[in-house]
Amino acid sequence: MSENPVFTTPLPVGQLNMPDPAEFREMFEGIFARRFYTNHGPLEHAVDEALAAHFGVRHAIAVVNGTIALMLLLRAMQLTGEVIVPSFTFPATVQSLVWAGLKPVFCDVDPDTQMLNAALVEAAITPQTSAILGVHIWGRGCDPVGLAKLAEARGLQLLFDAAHATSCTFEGKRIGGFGRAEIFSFHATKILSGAEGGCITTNDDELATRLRTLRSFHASDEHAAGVLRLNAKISEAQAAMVLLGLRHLDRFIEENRQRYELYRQGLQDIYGLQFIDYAAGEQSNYQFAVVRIEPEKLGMSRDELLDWLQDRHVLARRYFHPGVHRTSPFSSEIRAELTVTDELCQVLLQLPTGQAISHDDVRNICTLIQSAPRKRQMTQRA
Amino acid sequence: MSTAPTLALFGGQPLFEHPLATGQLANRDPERFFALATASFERRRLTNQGPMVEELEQRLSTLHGTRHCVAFANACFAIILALRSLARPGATRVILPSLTFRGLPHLIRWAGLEPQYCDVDPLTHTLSPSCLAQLIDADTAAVLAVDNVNGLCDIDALERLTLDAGIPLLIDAVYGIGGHYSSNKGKDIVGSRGSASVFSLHATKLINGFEGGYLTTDNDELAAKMRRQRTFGFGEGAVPVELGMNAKLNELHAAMALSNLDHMQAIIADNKRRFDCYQQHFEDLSWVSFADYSLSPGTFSLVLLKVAADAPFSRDELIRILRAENALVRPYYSPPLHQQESSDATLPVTDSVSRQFIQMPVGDLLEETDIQRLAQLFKHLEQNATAIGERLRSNLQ
Repeated sequence: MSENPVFTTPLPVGQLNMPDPAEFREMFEGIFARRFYTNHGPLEHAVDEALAAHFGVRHAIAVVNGTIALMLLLRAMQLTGEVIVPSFTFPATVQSLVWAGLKPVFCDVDPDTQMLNAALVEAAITPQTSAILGVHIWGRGCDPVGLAKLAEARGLQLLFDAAHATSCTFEGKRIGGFGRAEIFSFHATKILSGAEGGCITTNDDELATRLRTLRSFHASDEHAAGVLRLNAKISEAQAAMVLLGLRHLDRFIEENRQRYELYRQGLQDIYGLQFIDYAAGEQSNYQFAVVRIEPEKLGMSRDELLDWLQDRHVLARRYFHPGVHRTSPFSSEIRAELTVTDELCQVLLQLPTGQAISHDDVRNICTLIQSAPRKRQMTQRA
Repeated sequence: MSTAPTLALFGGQPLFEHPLATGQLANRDPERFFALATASFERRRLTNQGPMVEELEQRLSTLHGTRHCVAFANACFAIILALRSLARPGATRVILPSLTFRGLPHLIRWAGLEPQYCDVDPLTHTLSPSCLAQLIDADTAAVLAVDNVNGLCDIDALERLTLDAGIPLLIDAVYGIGGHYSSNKGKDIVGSRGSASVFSLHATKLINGFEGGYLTTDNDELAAKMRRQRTFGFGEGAVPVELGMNAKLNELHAAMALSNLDHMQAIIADNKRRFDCYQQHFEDLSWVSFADYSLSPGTFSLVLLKVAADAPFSRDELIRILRAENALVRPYYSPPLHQQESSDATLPVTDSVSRQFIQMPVGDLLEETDIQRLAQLFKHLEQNATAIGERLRSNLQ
């Protein structure tokens, strides 16, 4: 390891786990032999079953991507009026509400967990509120027990955006079965990839039947009058990719865990830079490496560090930035004072992870961060 | 069929061991697909407008003679996003034919608008310009015209009506791919007219990309919006500048579409050969005929068989018989949308056409011998019409 590591190829954020070539060929030759490419084929059936087993729920309904999963779920739940949602999330969480004809009401997040909690949500409830949409940031459970109690007490529906949370637990219980339903993403940057893909998990038989009807225009026994349908089908190709990923998920998680630990150790002594140890005490997929910058202590801002790293082929990302409440169309329509969200959007940074990143890469990134030039080099230590 | 076997509907062995499909299901170069997929793995680039999506877009914009092609996860997302962008502000209704794909009214409603059904031309089954002229009013947000496999839109008339009224014209050109409009203007390639056109890369369509779709347009502003809105409305630095969603086409689907696009002319030629074969073998049957394809795009992606009003079997009886034999035929756009939605629209041509046609088996899996056997089955039905008809109708009671 050199004093000033130089990366010759860009190091991305995101899992980008690729399939084994031989397994890929075998799986796709099967599709080609069956001539069954989409339209609820055998692999869609298989992936629904496999995902339900993995997430420990009665039903998984696989679809084209995670955003469409959420749009379809919100429609299927036949919600009305307002839904309480964090602004500290990926924009699709909130955009889905608009596509489902609902009004997002932004709620600030807990500074320690970066997520909603029952106390914060309770203050945002109005007579128009119909549901709470929690987001399991970094795969850590979004107060699922507290929010369930609140939802029950106030007669509200509860659902979760679990796009980050494949194979994660909350108090030992696997995420997927909380609330009335949850949605997951199988985007290429996630631990389980269908290139694109997503699913809805639920233990509610009636909701699952309705979702299976809504995900295509195919003939169905369920009439589902008045509820909008969509071509949201997962293709046999995407289903094949998810099934291949499931075979190796434990290995992907273990490799992520090793990178996570290397980051945690490599960054622990940097004054003004805190590694977010979101996985403590739970099963996690370890798919993110997130640090929090305290600019005054570190001697450089998050954005200064980001630019400096990107110039050196370390494609770290601001995630999330800005808060969704500050993006169009919400910034012009909704006034929200979200001080914690605004601060988090200025101080969090995601570092490269995933299959493309070796242990040496992680060590070198840690070294590089340690060597970053502080404008205001601090001398005191915590 | 030489010994006049029992129909499968009455408990006999199905005529076809494997189901005969009504979609294209082309997969002309699997090794090319595997090579492209391998390259995407080496790049670690499986989505987010990768190089294969870019190549596909470039080749399709050349094919359609347009400035822009924007790929989507499927054609439905293209229609939802285009309608929402194009709709006249303040207006709520989208005029479309009632005789079309059952998903369209859902897509209109996802775009926050309401469908209004219009009658069709008796020859091409496309939007009737005279009926459209009567429906256009201040509340018309857009017109959604549809090109059919047997006939393309009267594009000059539709453009004149919509341009005069200042109304956007979106064309569902899924079955028009490869065709040329009969037009008095110079530019006649399907995909190059109206405000924009939408196509499908679904496995059952001419170019199989598993699932997929794309929009063609010469409108720079619309193309830019579509590119942003398919990726969460992202502008610079992945910050949303408008409402969007995830409607991205992934690289594996693009690879499949590319591997088939190279063979488009061969796929069309094979379809034409099968269509000729149908015509030849069904020639002696006086009570069925094929739709008029004289104004068609010439791809013969679907074969539409018309059942005469005085035929020994009704259209729906024939469908039951054929499906039991493992020929997975369907009624063509039936019932029409205005009937499904209990609309009070009076659409006499649509009502009539929707009762007449069967979508027959087509595509890469269909052999000429299958077509021969289908014709023999029809001849068997003709020769034994009284006995089969009695048994069929008594079974119903």
